[in-house]
Amino acid sequence: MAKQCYFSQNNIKHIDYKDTEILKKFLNPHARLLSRRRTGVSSLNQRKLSLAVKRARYLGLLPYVSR
Amino acid sequence: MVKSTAPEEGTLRIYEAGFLLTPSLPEEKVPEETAKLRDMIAKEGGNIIAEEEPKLRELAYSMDKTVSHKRETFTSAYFGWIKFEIGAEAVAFLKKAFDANPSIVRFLLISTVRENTLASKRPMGSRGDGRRRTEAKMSDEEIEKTIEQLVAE
Repeated sequence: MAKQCYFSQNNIKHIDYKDTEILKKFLNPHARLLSRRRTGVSSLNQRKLSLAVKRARYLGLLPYVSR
Repeated sequence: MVKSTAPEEGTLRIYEAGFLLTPSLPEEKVPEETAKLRDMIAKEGGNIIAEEEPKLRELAYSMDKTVSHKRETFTSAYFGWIKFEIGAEAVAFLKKAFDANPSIVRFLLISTVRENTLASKRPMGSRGDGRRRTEAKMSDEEIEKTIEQLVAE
């Protein structure tokens, strides 16, 4: 069965780059973004998610690469 | 990373500045430095909506910044942010001022919304939980009995 979007389930309207604990859920062990197929996030939220991750990476809150 | 959608005179927009202050700054000087940033925003006619005091944290990777022809490497920094309302035309000046500030390692200026966008501080939804915790509970007596039954069989 299709998994539902994490952000709409938890009623998160804005994906903040400072919420690194949430963003980390969508990264694999190499700190790369998981695909939509893996995350089940809606396409709109996946785009917001990727922007938030990129912002967090720029400010050193998340790594660009890991391991 | 401010989108340049034709700034109108007089309209206020919501922005957020996330910044990293150099760790060479002593702890007690940090509030002083943020006060400077706040003053800068106020000078350009901005109102502060929300902020978080900079806290020293490890960076996910080492950053380089050239300060007066010398490259410095940072592995930790004070991370803080300020959310404010300001005229779109003032942001360019603010960006320049941030750029020129020697105690800022890096900053990120983004347009955002007035509401709180942080989700981690409020309780998460009740997804999946609860269902798993309704496993049949047995008292010690019951367990004894069932074991005896099984042994008897």
